[in-house]
Amino acid sequence: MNLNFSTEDRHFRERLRDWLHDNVPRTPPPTDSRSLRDFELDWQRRQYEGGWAGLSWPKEYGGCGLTPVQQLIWFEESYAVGAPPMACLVIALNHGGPTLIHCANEEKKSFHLPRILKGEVVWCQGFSEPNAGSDLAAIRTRALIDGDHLVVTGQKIWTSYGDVADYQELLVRTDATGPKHKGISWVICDMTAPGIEVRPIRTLAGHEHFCEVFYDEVRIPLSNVVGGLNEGWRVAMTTLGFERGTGYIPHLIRLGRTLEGLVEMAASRRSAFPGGQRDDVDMRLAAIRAEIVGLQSMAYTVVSRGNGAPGPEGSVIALAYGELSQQVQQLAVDIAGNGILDKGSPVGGWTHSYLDSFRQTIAGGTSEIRRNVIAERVLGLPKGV
Amino acid sequence: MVYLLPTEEQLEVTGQVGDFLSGEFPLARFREGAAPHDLSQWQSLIGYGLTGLGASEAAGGSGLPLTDETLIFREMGRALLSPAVLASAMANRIAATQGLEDIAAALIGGSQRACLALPCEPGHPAEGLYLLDYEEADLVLIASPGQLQLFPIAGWEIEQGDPLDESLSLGRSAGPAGEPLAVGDEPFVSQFVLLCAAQLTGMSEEARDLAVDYAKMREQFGRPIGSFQAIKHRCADMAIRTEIALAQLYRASVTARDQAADAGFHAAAAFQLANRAAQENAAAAIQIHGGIGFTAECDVHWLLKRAHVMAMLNISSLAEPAVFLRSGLGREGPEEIADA
Repeated sequence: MNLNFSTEDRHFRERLRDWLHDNVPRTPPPTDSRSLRDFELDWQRRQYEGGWAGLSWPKEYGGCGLTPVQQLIWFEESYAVGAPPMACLVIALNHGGPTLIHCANEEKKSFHLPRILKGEVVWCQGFSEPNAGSDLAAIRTRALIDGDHLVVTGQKIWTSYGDVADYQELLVRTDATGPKHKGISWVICDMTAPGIEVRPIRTLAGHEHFCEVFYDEVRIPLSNVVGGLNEGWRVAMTTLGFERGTGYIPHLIRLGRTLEGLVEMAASRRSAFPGGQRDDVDMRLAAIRAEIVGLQSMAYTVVSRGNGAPGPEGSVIALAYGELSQQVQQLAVDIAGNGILDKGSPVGGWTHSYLDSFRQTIAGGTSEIRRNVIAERVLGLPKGV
Repeated sequence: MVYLLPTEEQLEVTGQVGDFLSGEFPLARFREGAAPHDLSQWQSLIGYGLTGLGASEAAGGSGLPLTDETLIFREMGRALLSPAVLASAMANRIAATQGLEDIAAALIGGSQRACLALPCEPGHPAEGLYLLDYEEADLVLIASPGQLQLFPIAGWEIEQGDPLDESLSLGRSAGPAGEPLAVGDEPFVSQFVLLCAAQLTGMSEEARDLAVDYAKMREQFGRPIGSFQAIKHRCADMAIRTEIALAQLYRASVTARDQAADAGFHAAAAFQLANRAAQENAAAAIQIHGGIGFTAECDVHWLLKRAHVMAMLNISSLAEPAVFLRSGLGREGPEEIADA
């Protein structure tokens, strides 16, 4: 058991810190999708030119091939100097790209991977449907084979940045006769293809980043099927695997910084609380701080496993992070006072982050489904009916 | 290198102790009658070197690093071993640093034993000290905020109390007259907090396992109750609390072993998380057992009761929330690189 960074990793940190100091964008990310796209692609291009694109991607595909420990260092250092969180490039860099690396042929890899790394394209995800949320395998968007094309008709929902994406990792039903997991295919969808309509959905936090996507006889080349026809469930599970474990490291580091901001806000509002309440606030802050530190320690256990089989902490991190980040935001509301009613007040930044935190226990798998997964796969409890 | 998981070798050693304890010291031993139970088996515990795991081999100990000792205390937590083990393990350290090698050797070798004591809070009918599993002890280790003190017990007047946790004996005493034999502050206070966190973590694991095993076996409505989401989700919550506490325990043990500047902070965080996990998992385990869980013959109540005892032992000077919030804020920084 050890927490000493190797000499190599220390030098890595030093080199990285210098580069970040000179290159991290100093302006906050814009809020509208179109400007955010330009902002993030620009930052991605800069990372590419500096040799920092595709942190976890293998070197043979143009990535950095960083060890999990080095990825951890990257996020620690980049967030310490205020690097923007990954938003519209998440799917390309953490989902679509890695899936192509694992499951696609050379032609698809050599076309798409460099474009992702160079910051030329945005990808989005077309998985959920109005009647296939937690029960993802129930998707009904149909793809009929017509010569060397698929003809896709149906609807996807909760597609973040669908309005500014160039490509989509799309799950379609190519066989409706067998078991529901068996007839799904994973395809690359060109978002400029005729027959696609994207409608942004306004969230309760006032954002318009996620969308409905409608497909009306959209023609997609059969060669865009990745991993084989009707093999899409297996391919999608590869993708979802990237959501667990190391993928949460940047979130955990940012959550620690968010809490530090909350402790500062609480300090500035101390006079608003009589003694007893002040102790109560401190107690809640301290309890949450311990939880965050514990989760960050869990991130160290995740990177300790290297690229080997994930441990139980993978599924625990996703759930605990979501619920903890909501607790942080709830506490912020309790401390902020009535300034929380006004997005323009000195505490107004918390208004938005509080409202936005409601997605944390829904997106990418609800807390309820995640608890089922932990109970069944980690604890070995029997499947429900 | 960063590797925050137990190695195969560590798992083998701790597994051996765990097997011994679950075989010889099952929770069911508490059903059989009046406390104290483990004191009569003291030599068997000494045979496994449990009071001298961290002491040097020259001093008669096992010379294990604090990380390994932490993992073994986690096993002791699962078995709810007497706090006299923790008291004796800490007492020999403190005695040794103050030149009392003979006492240290006696504690390691089992010819002497220390019991654990904590100050009664002001306003209790019997102000002074509570003593735990104190029968035939030679020494008392008093755990008070920020400090451990070691006294000889000879001459103390001890009144028998009526413990919440009947697996232990509880004594009340006006406390010591005169000066302590030895006193320990840092790093001993943080080590004590760490080893308490280790036991609480083990207790949370034991509660989780008892509940999950029962949920797999017990059938209602024609199927195991563990197939129902209401039960599953409680079990998942137990697993989450335990996994977070365990990861933090690993980190606290490594920082304590390496005498890192933030060792005290990580020990305090480990205690906080393990304490919550032990309390809430024990309560959940009782609920999952249903009616049988409310009976004295179901072992889960011992975990709940001991968790209440252990909760009183956070003597870290960082235990105070306002202090905790101001500590441990450093990050991997230029200092770290400058050291390289």
